Amino acid sequence: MDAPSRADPSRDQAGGAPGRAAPDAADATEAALLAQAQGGNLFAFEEIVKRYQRRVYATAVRIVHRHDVADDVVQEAFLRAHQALGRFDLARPFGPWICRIAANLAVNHVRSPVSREEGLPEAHAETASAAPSPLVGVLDAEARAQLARAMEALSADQRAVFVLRVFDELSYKEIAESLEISIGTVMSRLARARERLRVALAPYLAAPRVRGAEGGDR
Amino acid sequence: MSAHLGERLSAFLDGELALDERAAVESHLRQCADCARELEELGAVDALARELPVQAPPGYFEALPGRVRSRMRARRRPRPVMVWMATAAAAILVAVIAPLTLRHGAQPAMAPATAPAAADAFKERALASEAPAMAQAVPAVPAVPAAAPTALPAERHLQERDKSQKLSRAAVDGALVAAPTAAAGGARSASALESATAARHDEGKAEPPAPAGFAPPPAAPRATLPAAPVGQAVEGFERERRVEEAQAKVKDAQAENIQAQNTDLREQVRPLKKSEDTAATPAPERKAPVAGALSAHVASVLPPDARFEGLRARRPASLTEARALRDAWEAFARDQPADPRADEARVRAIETGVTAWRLGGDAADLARARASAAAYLAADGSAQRARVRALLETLPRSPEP
Repeated sequence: MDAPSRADPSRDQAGGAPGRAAPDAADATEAALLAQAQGGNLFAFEEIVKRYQRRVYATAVRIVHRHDVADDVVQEAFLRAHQALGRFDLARPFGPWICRIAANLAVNHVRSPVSREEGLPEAHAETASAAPSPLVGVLDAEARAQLARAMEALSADQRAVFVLRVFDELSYKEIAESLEISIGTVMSRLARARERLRVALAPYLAAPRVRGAEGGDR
Repeated sequence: MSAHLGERLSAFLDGELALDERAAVESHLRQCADCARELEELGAVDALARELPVQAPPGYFEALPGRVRSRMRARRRPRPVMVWMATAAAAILVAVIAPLTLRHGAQPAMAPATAPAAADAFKERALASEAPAMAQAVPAVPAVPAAAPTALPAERHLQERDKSQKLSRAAVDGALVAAPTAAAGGARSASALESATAARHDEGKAEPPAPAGFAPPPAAPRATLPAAPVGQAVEGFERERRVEEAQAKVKDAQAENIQAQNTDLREQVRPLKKSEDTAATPAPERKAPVAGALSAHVASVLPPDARFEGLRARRPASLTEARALRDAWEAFARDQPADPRADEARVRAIETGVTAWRLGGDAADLARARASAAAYLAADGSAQRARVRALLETLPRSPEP
């Protein structure tokens, strides 16, 4: 999946302790880092955090739609992953696992009585990316804004399923396990979410076809 | 959605249909233009959604790994090697003490020459992994409550978090209603204790942080302590002792401070709670500071970890709550200037101040948030200026009337 934060494209050293971090940490394989982290090496785990923080944040904020809540979810997800690291199978990819933890936390938050979805502050809202041409750019920008609104209008449960499938590319089985629902529920929620988004985007969906844009070839 | 294929189109798009269903859908798509177009549109929705960027506040990802690390350190438990070492140390201790006890007690006439042999025999047994049995056999080592198999770490954390939330809620809602006697003598928060001791273990602070002066219901079991062999029993005993010492100090402090203020503060709290129940309009100016002072005062006796987590767990839903939380963040930053989380606390104070303004529309809140932000941006050690600037950009250019 694409790194979500286009504002922070570079891998940074800030927030860590460059003097103490292993100099080759950035080059280490994920499995090696995880093995070190399982052995109690906090700096190895910190490197894992650096590698996945954008992805986990994206998963969280797409579900909860608030930066402060997403921030809590992200930190909590990494803490829980760290606590459960001893049981993690190093042969499996870390990304889907941490995203599942984050999604579960995010959905639980949204379901909780204290949750009040207020939407992201303006400065944190989505920003347009570079468009291939001015004309297409206008259409795409409008469509994106419409899609963002439609996603906010989904129920948290629908949004979580959609995020885990479309952004994190989890299987239905993985989504079902993450959210503790049946595969049939995953299927129906996802279908309803997609249908609502499709209806919301209907005015714009003719354009991609004319342009020959492809989206259904997965 | 099309009546033709319904939900199967979405699952088909994801490759999640069984082979026979998939073949049936493909066959239908070849004959049905509507369904084929719908499938294409569903795919276009996915593709467009993937292009939606997500942007965190500037500087957020620079700071996050360090913030996660400091929380991990605060929460870190003794690792198996440490537990093993503690077990071995306890066993050796027992091997030395027990023969002495035996010699002076049950076998007073034992010749000194036989004692080393007895010690050796005991030591051998100890090293043969019979520590749990010894934990019961040797009265010098207090028994750890026979903890049921502990919850999964994730669940355990949920419990901790719940407790933190209870702590914070108590700080806001009921702390002073309960009065300092309950506060000082109340049961200890397991999470607060553990945070305090964990922080002490990891950072080697000479001065133990103040333990919880008040806590969730006494029934809160120490279930967060792992079911432990003798090593942890010893460690648990040591924790208890240190915490009790620290608690005694806090009690003294509370006796001097809290009880001195108790009478008039309670007088102030009662009208506050009453008006919160009845008034939907923004609270009068003096209420939030009072509530903030109360919660800040009570919170100040918490260990920094529990206090910080408690504040983080709070979600202000009203103007009063937002103001109280803002004040509590400011108090944290003020009380813990050397804490690595003080910077985060300062930023959160500003953010919560803005939330207060958004909830109540009071220009004074906005002005205060701006002033705090300006002070933060001007301060030397501020690490998250970009985040604060981004917040300022969301505010109107000039304070609203």
